[in-house]
Amino acid sequence: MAELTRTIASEAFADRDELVVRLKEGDESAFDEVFQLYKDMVYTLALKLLADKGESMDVTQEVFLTLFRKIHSFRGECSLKTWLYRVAINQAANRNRWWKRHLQSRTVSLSISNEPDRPAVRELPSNQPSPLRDCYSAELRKALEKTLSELPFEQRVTITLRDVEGLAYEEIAEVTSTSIGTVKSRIARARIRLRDQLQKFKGGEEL
Amino acid sequence: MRCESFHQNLHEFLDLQLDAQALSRAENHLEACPKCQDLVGEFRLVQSIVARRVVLPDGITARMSVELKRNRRRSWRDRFLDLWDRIRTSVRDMEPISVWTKATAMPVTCLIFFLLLQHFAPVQIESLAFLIVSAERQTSEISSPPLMFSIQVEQNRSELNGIINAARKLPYEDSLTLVAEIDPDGRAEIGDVLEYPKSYDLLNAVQVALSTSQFKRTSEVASPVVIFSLQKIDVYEDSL
Repeated sequence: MAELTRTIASEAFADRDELVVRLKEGDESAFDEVFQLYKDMVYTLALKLLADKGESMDVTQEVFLTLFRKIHSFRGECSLKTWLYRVAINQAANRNRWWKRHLQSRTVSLSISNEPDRPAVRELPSNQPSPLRDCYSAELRKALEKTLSELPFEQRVTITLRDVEGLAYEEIAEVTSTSIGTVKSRIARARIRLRDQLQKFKGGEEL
Repeated sequence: MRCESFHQNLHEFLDLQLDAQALSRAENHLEACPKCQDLVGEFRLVQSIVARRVVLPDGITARMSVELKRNRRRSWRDRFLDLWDRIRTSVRDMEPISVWTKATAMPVTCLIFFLLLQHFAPVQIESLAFLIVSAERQTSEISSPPLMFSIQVEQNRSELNGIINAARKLPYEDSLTLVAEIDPDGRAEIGDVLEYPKSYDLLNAVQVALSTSQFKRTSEVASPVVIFSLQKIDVYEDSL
């Protein structure tokens, strides 16, 4: 089984290397292939980092344009995926910086968690699926996503790479050019803040 | 394992980053501790909500694919526009104070440079030419026999005592070196002081001694000079 997994993994890496070679040669089908393979990954990452669909779509397009235009400067020191992560994070950081400076002060949040002391929705007594419970889950998700979007950018990047992309601490450290200790502390701080929000939402007591 | 120890490695536990031994200890504690079970449950709920992936809508995917194909190759005009856009956006993204700082830095620097030029005018070409001519004039090769052999000096003890007393009165070490010209009457007149002493009393004493001493030429030279050098050194008893 392990042998089979190793074989599949090495074949996958060989495929990616071949893809990079085809990209550098200007193969049109390789561009389509890369776009189809990574578009959702880039879009998800951008959406988690920016919390805005329109901006995230723009960033996704920019990331692939950068990839296609600068593929000749890609030296293969890291994987294509890691390179894409870095490009996407840089693009999102630029947008985030601009948004923070120019639009944040003019934006009024319509989120349910405007009053931090009062729980927005009380916990429902039953665990049975129901329209109310679905609504509760959706509201909880929104509240946590809002808290995620309010985290410092570096924490947002780290928690997204860990919990969404499932990267190991070492891989996150490589993508973000930081130490593993920094990665661990950012993950811990981000999760504690998200859990605090969860508790406020549920109206439960602090542990 | 206590709850505090479990909490220390909680995030590594949630991320499956613990080694087998630590993982086993954590799992044993978790089985026995309902409070930590609740905590892990909450963090896993947070993780599951954060981990929700999204898919680029089909319509957007198709449109983006077309856009990417069209913009993959860039003309020089597009590259120029892109560069202009980058400059524009970088200026736009700057803090207003940075923009003003950068905008005013260049004229202010030019103004300061202009004022400095006005204050310290550059050297005129004529005076440079003069300097070069005078430098050429000074580097002539006139040689003369050593002057010290062409002069004899007669000094009284009292004249020398003047210098010794002036040096003794100084509370510090001192030294001087000077060149004196000998006039036809055999008197020395200080020309250049090569090394000024700290004490003017010492210089005066040397001047008096030189002016009262009688110098006698032993050979005919055009303008004999004396190089006079004096050094006062303190000698301490404990160093002897």
